[in-house]
Amino acid sequence: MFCGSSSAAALAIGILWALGAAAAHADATESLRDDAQRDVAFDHPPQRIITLLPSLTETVCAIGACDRLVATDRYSQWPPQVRSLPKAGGLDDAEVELIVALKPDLVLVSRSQRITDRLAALGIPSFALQTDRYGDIAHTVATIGAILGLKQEAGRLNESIAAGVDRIGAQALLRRHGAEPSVYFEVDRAPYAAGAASFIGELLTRLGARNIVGADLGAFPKLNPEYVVRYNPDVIFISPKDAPALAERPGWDQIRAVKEHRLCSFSSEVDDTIVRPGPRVADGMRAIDDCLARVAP
Amino acid sequence: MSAPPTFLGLSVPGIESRSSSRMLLWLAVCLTITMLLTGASLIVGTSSIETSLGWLFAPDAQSSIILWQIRLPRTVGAWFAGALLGLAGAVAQGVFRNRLADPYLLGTASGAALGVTISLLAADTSIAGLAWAGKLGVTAAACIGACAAIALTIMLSRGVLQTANLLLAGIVVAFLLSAVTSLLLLTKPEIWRTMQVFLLGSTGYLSWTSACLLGAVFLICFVPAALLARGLDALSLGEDTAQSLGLSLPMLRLALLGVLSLATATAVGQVGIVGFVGLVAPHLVRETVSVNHRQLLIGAPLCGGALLQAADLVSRWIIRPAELPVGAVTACVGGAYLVFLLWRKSRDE
Amino acid sequence: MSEPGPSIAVRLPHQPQLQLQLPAAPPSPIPALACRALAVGYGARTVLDNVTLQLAAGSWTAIVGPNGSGKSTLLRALAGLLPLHAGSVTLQGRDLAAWSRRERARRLAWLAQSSGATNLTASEVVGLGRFAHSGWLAHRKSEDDAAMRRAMLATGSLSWAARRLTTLSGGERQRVYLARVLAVEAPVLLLDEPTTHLDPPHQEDIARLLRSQARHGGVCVLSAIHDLSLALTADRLIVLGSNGLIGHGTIREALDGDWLSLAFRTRVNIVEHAGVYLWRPALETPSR
Repeated sequence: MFCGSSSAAALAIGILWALGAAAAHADATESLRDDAQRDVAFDHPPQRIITLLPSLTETVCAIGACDRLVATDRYSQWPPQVRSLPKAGGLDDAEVELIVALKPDLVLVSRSQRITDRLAALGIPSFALQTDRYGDIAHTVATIGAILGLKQEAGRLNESIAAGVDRIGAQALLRRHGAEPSVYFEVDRAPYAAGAASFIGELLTRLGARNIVGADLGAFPKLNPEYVVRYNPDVIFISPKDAPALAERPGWDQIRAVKEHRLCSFSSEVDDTIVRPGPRVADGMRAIDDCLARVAP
Repeated sequence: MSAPPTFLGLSVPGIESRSSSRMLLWLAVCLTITMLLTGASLIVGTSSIETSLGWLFAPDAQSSIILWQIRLPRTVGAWFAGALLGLAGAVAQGVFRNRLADPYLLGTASGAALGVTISLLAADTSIAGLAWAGKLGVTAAACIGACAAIALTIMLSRGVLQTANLLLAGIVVAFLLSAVTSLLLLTKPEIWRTMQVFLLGSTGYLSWTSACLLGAVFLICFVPAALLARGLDALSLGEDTAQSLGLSLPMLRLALLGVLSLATATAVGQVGIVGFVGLVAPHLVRETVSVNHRQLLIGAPLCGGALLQAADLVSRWIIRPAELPVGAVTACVGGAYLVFLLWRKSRDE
Repeated sequence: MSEPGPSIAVRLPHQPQLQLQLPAAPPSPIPALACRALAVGYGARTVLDNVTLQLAAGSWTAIVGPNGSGKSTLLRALAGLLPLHAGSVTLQGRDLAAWSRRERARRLAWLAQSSGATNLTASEVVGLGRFAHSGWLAHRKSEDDAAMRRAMLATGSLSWAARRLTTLSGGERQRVYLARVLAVEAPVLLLDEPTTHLDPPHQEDIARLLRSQARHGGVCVLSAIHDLSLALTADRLIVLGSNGLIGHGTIREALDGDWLSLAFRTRVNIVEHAGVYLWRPALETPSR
């Protein structure tokens, strides 16, 4: 009788343990769908991470998992501690051999990079994230938080980003007393413009500026130069290289922004925060707003 | 003499005047089309047609700028650039005695692209030796690159005597310089977008300065070419025959290649690499009027000018206010024309 | 330069009798065209070596020989179109290189074996023959027009003066090229296979034309002709073999020395009939 009760107890404990283990296991195996519509399963939060896009690098570090990074792409320069990490190639030409040699648990890529198939064939898990618009920032932060098991930190980061953006936006609108300066943001001298539908355009709209290139023209249209002359923007955002030659373009010397020298140029470090959606979006907005405050009429 | 009067009355000068009257008609048509296109260019742009018409009759300051400082020099510049390309194409087809020759045969396109790449790279880097290249600007860099490519081709083929050598050397130089350009672009992919604009051609920033430069170079190239036209006629009979008629082949080729280089390099510097105009313009002239080289060297520039003007108009109008690269438009039209030629040839056979 | 020579009547089939003005014979004993110790070839290969010839004005010489013996090479060398390995060529007593390009082009006219494809009209092609006279600007004077007209009449090509070369048949085109050569009105004519593509009546006309140019016009005519019977209507022969020049002299001398058999390395039968020499193909016996 003593043997019977102890064996029953052992059996019960055994079953309970098995169920508990199964439950714990079920919690840890998450399956997330990435932005390339693939389902990626994680047994445990990855510890060795390679990022192939600067904004993803920044996001991982901003959440607090910078020590888990083993390599980045060659353009990732922020935060300063990632500069010493090995560089695994550029945006289109990742060095697959280096990636394989580092034995990562996860490679974070952008949706437009085509390396995911190659990595899958080599048995390396990868996760694609879309980073084109303002709304993608929060989604990327939350997803990376979920992957890394740092959901709380991700939530806090998102809140602080949103708070920063809203604050700067409110200050800008307040300062301008409702005036909307018309702006033209030139991305290339062709001229390629950043329209209202692009990320840069979204930032400008939040700051209360009116983009002469509306959302109907697409994100980065190649304009007829006459268009800019016709719409006569108050402020022109242009790269420092092209700024001196603006007045030489036929008819452009009559544009208000050129005549009154209301030009905004950014260094390449600041440019990174403006051109690519990432956790430092508030810094980028501040840079734009500072310039607008300086030169807008 | 008992011969019928029509037979003996067929005097040689009389025959010439019939074909030259056909040529005059063709010239008149070309000039009319050019005038119409110029007018249309003034009206077409980012504004609607009614607005533009309103501008023509009662322009305010801003619309006056758009009409006379942007639209008019752009269309005039496009005409001269097209004329230069048409002239260069006719000369190339005459010198190489090949109807498929185009102005970029001697590697000019690749040389210009390399020049632009170096200039764009130099503007960014702090390598002291290249700083001057950055200051040159895209226009001068493209021009110098094109001329350097031609010089390289002539050096490689050891002079202008052998046409086959020249063609081969031109192909080699084109490939070589393209490879170097690609390698340089890899080091700094950010300038790829600017390169693409250059490679596809753009008439966007043609000012009065550009238009005048193009016009001056056109005159400088046109006059010697028209004078040398008869030499091209003689050359079309065969090299030995041309020599026996008293032609100095090396001098003729050198002079014509000089004209070709200057015309192509200038056009490429101002509007980028625009294909098919140099190839199609002489073809069109031959199809409709079928002429000797003097008439070809007059007709091809007129045709080329009108072609590029039309392409510029289309590139501005189709997706307004955005703009297509003008080289893409000429490629579509030129490609379609060549397909049509092939179809007609196979139908005749 | 010279006063007009005797005018002759030329009868061409299907055309009425016409009066032609031909340039007079220059009265000098200096050979119109001569070469001394000529060695010429392509690249390093020498095709002809140590050839010495004298061609007088007012005679028609035909070059005959097997394929590859250097007929075209010799013609091109004499026309100054090939660089010489050794020796010299003199035109009307002066070295060829001493003449200016234009003067040489006025004195020496060359007809290539095959001309490039061209879309010019016949009159434009013949007009190119006056290139050495009227120059780059093609400002034609009346004498240019007259020369062109004469040349086209002589070759019977005037009726298609306005037509494009691409619309003419091979024979018609050849006659236009001949007219171009005649329009130069040079005292020396070098012709490489002038009778290609022509049918027999026109071959006759050309042979008659060359003979009258030589005899009555005083032109020095040198032609490479494939057809043996036609070649034998010339005044003199240059016979080339695979080893170089075999002989240069009158038809009689060539037949006496049996140069043709030496050149072609086989029995070549020439018979005389009513004052004309004809080649008789020997089809009956295979033995040599």
